[in-house]
Amino acid sequence: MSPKGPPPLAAGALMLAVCVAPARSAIASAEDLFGYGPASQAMGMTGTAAGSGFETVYTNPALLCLSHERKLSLGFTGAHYALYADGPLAPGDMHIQSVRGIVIGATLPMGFGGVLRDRLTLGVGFFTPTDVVVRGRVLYPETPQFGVLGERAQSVALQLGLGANLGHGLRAGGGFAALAAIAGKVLVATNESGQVGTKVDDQLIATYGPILGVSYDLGPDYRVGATYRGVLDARFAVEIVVRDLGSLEVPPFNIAGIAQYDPRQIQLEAARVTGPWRAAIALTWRDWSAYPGPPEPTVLCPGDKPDCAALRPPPFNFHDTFSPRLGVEHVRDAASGVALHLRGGYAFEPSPAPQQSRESNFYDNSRHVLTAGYGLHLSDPLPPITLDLFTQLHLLLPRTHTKDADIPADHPGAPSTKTHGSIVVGGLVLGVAI
Amino acid sequence: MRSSALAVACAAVLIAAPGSVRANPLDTFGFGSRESAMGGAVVADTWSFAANYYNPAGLISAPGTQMSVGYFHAAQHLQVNGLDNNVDPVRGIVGGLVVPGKLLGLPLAFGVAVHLPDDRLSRVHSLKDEAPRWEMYDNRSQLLFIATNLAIRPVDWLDIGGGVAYLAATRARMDISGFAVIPPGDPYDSQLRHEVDGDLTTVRFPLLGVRIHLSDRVHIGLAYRGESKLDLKFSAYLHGQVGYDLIRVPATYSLESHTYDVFHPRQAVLGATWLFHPRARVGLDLTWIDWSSYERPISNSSTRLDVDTGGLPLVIPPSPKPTVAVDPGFHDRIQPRVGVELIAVRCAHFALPVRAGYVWDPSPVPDQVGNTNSIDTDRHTFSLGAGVKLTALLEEIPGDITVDVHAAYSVLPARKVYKENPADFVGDYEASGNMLALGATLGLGF
Amino acid sequence: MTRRLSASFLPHHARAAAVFLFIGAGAAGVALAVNACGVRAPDSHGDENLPNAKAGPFRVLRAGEAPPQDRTMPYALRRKGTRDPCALDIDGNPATPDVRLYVAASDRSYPDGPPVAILAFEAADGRSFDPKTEDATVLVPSEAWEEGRVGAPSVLRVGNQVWMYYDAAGGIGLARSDDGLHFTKVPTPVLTADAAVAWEAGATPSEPSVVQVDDGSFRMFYVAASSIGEARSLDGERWERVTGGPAISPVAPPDFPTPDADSVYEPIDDVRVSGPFAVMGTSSLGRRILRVYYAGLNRIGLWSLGLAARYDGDGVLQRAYGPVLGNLYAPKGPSVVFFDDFTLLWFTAPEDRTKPDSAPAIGEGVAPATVSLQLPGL
Repeated sequence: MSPKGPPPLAAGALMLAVCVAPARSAIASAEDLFGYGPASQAMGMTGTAAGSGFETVYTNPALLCLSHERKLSLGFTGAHYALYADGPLAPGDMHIQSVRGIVIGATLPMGFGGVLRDRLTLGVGFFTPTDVVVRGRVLYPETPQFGVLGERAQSVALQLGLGANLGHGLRAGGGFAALAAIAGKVLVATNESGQVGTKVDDQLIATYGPILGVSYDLGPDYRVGATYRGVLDARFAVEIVVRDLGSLEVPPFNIAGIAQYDPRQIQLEAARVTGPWRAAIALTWRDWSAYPGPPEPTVLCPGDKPDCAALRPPPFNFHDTFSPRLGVEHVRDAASGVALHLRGGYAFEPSPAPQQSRESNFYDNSRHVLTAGYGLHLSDPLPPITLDLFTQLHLLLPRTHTKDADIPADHPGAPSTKTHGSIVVGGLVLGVAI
Repeated sequence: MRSSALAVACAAVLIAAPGSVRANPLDTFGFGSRESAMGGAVVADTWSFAANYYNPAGLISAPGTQMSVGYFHAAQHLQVNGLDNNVDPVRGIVGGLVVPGKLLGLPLAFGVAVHLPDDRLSRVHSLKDEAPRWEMYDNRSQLLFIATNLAIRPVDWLDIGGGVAYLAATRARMDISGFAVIPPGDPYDSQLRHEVDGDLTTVRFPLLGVRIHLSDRVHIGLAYRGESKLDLKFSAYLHGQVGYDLIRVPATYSLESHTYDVFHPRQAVLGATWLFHPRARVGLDLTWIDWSSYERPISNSSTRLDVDTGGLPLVIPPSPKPTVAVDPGFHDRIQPRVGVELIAVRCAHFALPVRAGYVWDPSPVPDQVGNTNSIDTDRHTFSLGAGVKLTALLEEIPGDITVDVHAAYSVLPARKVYKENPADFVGDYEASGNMLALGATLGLGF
Repeated sequence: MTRRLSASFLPHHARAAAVFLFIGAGAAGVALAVNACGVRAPDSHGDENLPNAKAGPFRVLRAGEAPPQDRTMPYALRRKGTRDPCALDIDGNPATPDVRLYVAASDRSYPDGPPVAILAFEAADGRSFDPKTEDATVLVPSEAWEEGRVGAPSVLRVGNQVWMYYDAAGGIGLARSDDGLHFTKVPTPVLTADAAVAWEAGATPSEPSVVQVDDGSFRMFYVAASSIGEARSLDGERWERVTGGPAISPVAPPDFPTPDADSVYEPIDDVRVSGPFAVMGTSSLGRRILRVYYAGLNRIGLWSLGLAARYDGDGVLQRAYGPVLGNLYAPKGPSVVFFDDFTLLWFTAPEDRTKPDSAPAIGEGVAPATVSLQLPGL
């Protein structure tokens, strides 16, 4: 069934909740946008081969087994957006809300003995925005929105993983990430008193995405790694059923959409992991072509009429992306028990979204990501404390979306819109071995 | 060094780790097979992952790193007038970690625990105020529990623990616009679209615990659990036209609904454990529950439907006035618990503890003689359990392997409700029931 | 001396592999189990068999709950000019919903006119009434005091007989039958106007509803002026009015939750009450209840059905907190029969629901509203 655009805006036929006012939508997690863990985030979001500590629960669970001490980590992360959509019928400043959240991590070597001694480590990683668990905005497609960037970071991250040292330089690990989604039902019916009654039922359900990783040591200094992350999505779905409402007989309304979406991805990395100068180079493939887009049809065709004339949302036509990454770290022993880590990196994040030439205004830009960071690691004879800081600068490559000639001149985003901007991310994490 | 470590630990607690939440399925059915078998009388005597719920101060007494996973299923046979109400069972995975250690010489422990329901994580119903419901057992047990805590031992006789509660509430706005086809047209040809603006918002509240070791045999515990509730704010706005063929009339429907559900009042627990024999102990807990603050899960809602029929043969029901909640008038309660544990068999690599417990849970709900119908009765729970503890059985597992099982049977004696108003739509009724909870937990210690 | 189990009989690598596999399988099993938790949103339960007096509120019947399938609901008997239904459980067995429905009917050529006959229709399922039933007439005017009209039947089983009370121009009459179809009238009215009763303002009593209480005596509820009065009788023929004012007068019901103008419930009967229907019932805990259903008119000009009740046979009637049937169908003249699993309601409704002044017909509803009635024959 070919998708339909919105019906003609004849007088009184449609009322739009939002016209050209800026709006915010979000479809994925902070870790997919900015990486996870201060070292990885400072080194161009690498870590599949070069990672260590609690952050490997995301970057590569196989590397959890490199941690041989019980360690708790606590920190903060924030991101500030300056995103713009400029044009005659574009909002200008998109006013994307900043993200602030707490990072919590832990590594727990498992005290098995025998052949399992020092081989298994459990890792836990959380990111909790200060006020939301998940933010889900599924807006009308013509509403100008930075769908991929936007407020994707307003989402909790709950990750659990186990890494195993299989011997002979081979490590493997697995885990999962979890999100929450909404499944609700609203019944609108004439109640027993003959008035319009409403009954609301809302359920919170979990969604999971697997994380699998392997690494292999090429000698004492080099390592290669691969991480697979399955789709992690959160769908907000409320079914509104109208029944016994006098003469009004309408089909159930499927008020649903994908609020958060991390595509399936594979990251391959090679790294030098020893010596004062360490580096990692990685490539990440993301399966964005499988992304169906946030909105779903409001009216679903029944089984006996699969080709009904109900309105369909426009297609999103995202395409897969390949993201190269580079990270560098210099480690220096400043004193007995004091190690300084200076980090830097670069990543290029191409946009999966096509040019918005039709009715939709689902903006996204490719980004250059420049990263830097600093770590202070104390060890015996000093207390086993680590402090890591990082910062990232995401520079959006300007992009112009020109509407096709048949799009009305008063349509949001017409005749063209230029999108640009930047994102600044920063944070620090304190770790303590117990 | 100790004071600075203490300061760091306290700061960590305050900044906090998401902490434990006082969640109803655990109140009703317990958490962890050992603790559940002992009737939950363990505020002074818990050290496993279950301490994340009963008293986080107990984490510090873990002999080593512990990992536990288990499962429990509780069937609820609740009846009114002799007919089963088919209340959903409560079941799910339980598990957790305890990681003791030292920070700058100060003993501390970190704990994580979770109860993950088989089905949904949580559920919010909006009900009319007069709708009958099993107030304590229908929906409040359908809830995720996730907790992390920190515990410290600043001096040998004092353990302190705490965390911050963590739940998710829902806030959603929905907008639907377009043209809805009504008969004789085909409603599935409607040209409608929607947008959703929703958040799952974070709610935090505290949990604190203290344990005092009066001697090697007598321990006192005190725990406080903060109030929690799930908040559902839901609004929907439909606007556009209804009709068929060329006939179109304007229509709007708006709904604002604000519901508090799964309300858990704050509570404080005071208890003691006495090891009256090297292989036997008894625990007694008293829990004060602030039921007088209870908010019933009804929907404060307003609804409006406007259709300009314009002479069309349409019959549209009127819109009601907004609903308003009534104070349920619940009463605070003291809930006693008692539990015993006896190590029936103990040798170098093997131990067999047996356990028993009892809880009396008096109903806080006043007689429902008026319009409201919060169905509830007292509850008496009798529990039994046993375990097997294998020590250093395998070279690969130099620590402990424990398997604990428990069964708890609850009796809800009949309670009759006589309505004051003979025209009441619910009428007189008698409520009663029973519950059976079974569970098992496997633990590994290092 | 401690001893541990050891698989030292296995080669080292094989043992390592076996242990890894075991631990891996266990971890994978736990992960799979966790990933299977909390992911479903099944329908909620816990709302089955909850207490319900089955006395209301009612919902109207839906399409498919009464034949023919194309019947416009909620009409049980869509015959113009019929009104004031009174249903009688034919066999007196609450397990079987076979009902005879007595209605007042106007002349078919003048359906808006006053009722001139009482008709009876039967349905084994309480819903499948055939408006084309022949020989449905069971009572016509024959006495001078009736002045050519009869209406508002109230039918009850007394011993082996069926008694019918009805109203006419001169008051309330009584007719008895052995089979419920052939009636013999008492020649004079059993209740007439009484100028001594101040609240009746000299009005002729009408719209009777009679119920026999547990001690064998009778209670009658009737309409006079804008209120509903009550009378007692030991034999059903000689009636004595209950003094102290009307049993139900047009006063706004107890507001819920606050008794002020901003109450969440619209008053349903603050202008007029009429069409009483009295029935005895028993609560789930064995208390006897006298229920009186009635129609109420509010200040906005909308009709709804209300309920008032009392425990045992005498005393003050207390109103329900809300209507038993709302004003969507402008209902009047209710009649109710309690069955084991549900209660059926019949009422007078405009034949064209978009025109409240159209000729009357008979509508039908059921309580509890959650009950689903199967199409007869399935």
